[in-house]
Amino acid sequence: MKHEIWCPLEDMKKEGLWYSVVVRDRHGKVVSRERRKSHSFLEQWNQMVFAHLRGVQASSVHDTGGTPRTLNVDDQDFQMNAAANNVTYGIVVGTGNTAVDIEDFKLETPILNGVAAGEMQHLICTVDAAVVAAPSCSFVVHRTIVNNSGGIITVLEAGIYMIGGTAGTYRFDATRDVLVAPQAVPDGGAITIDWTIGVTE
Amino acid sequence: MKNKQKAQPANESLSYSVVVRDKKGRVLQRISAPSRSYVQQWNQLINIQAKQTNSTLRLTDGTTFSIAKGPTNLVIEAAIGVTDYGFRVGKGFTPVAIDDFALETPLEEGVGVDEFNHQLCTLTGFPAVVGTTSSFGWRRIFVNNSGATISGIREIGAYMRMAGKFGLAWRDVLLGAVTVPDGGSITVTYTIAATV
Repeated sequence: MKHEIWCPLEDMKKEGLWYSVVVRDRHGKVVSRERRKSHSFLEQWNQMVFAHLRGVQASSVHDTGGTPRTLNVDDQDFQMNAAANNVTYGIVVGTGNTAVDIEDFKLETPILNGVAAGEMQHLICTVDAAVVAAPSCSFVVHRTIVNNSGGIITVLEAGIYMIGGTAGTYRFDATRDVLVAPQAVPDGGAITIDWTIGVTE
Repeated sequence: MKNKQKAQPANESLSYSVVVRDKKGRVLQRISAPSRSYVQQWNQLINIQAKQTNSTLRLTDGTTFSIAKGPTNLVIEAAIGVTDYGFRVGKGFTPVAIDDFALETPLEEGVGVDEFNHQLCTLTGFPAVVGTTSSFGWRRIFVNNSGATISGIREIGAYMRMAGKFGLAWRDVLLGAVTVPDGGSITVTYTIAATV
């Protein structure tokens, strides 16, 4: 049975953060979909915005390893367009389902890149150009993550890691959401996540 | 199985307060309200950083320019007297549009008619977590040394740095006009918050 949690498209035109999740089987057939409002800009996002409004730095910003860092503003701050197989930034998924906390600094149980049990192959993470369609301006971050592990992998959480700090040294978790429904990705199948970041007048 | 969920409030929020004082520091008026007024340049600049490639953005003078990623993108912390970026106030009252690129009628720096002395645009505190919210604030005081009352202030907003250029980050139209007596001031504070 196809599982759908689908927010009306007109609601997605409103401000804020939205995500959609589409799970396909090995034949490309959609087996599950979820689209909803994200509630999950985390503390690190706000700290990076703060650092840039000042143009200097923010202190004690926890990287994805849990270490507090001094975030000196840099060209690469906010970067999300990760290359294939790179899970240090861009959209990431995991198997944790603890409720989101503003102080979360990583996914609870991130899925590693690979083809072993419990691993998935992360394709390129792309960032579209911003589009203005009054009354909103938004852009979408996309990534497809393929399951070639030989077994079913159930995805329970997703987020966006971003680059930050001098010379792009650190990785910070910008968003995290626990999915409304567990998304079981069959062997040979894939999960595609589109994250929309928008503002509205 | 199909389950349609209603939209929930955004978890990234912007709100403002405006305080008017007379020359003795007495509060004459207070306004506070949620802001719904990020404009396109804000998100376009975040987008440039996220994808790490240039985009053409509209500047506060109405022209367009190819803006690159950079460490000073989004900066609003402005020195005394600087009006290229930082908070501004103005007399325009046309409703906010997503493609606004400047205040409609910004008031300039100085001591002439309808001019303000712009003080430092600075933070009110570092980001702090309280409960489920991370927030911080930014403030600027505008002093009226023009020799006369400045009336009809209806709009406030923030100009930001964009790779050596300047763009409008957000704009709000006040519900009513604000009047600042000679020697008095208007203080604009914005709070940026993220809530899970």
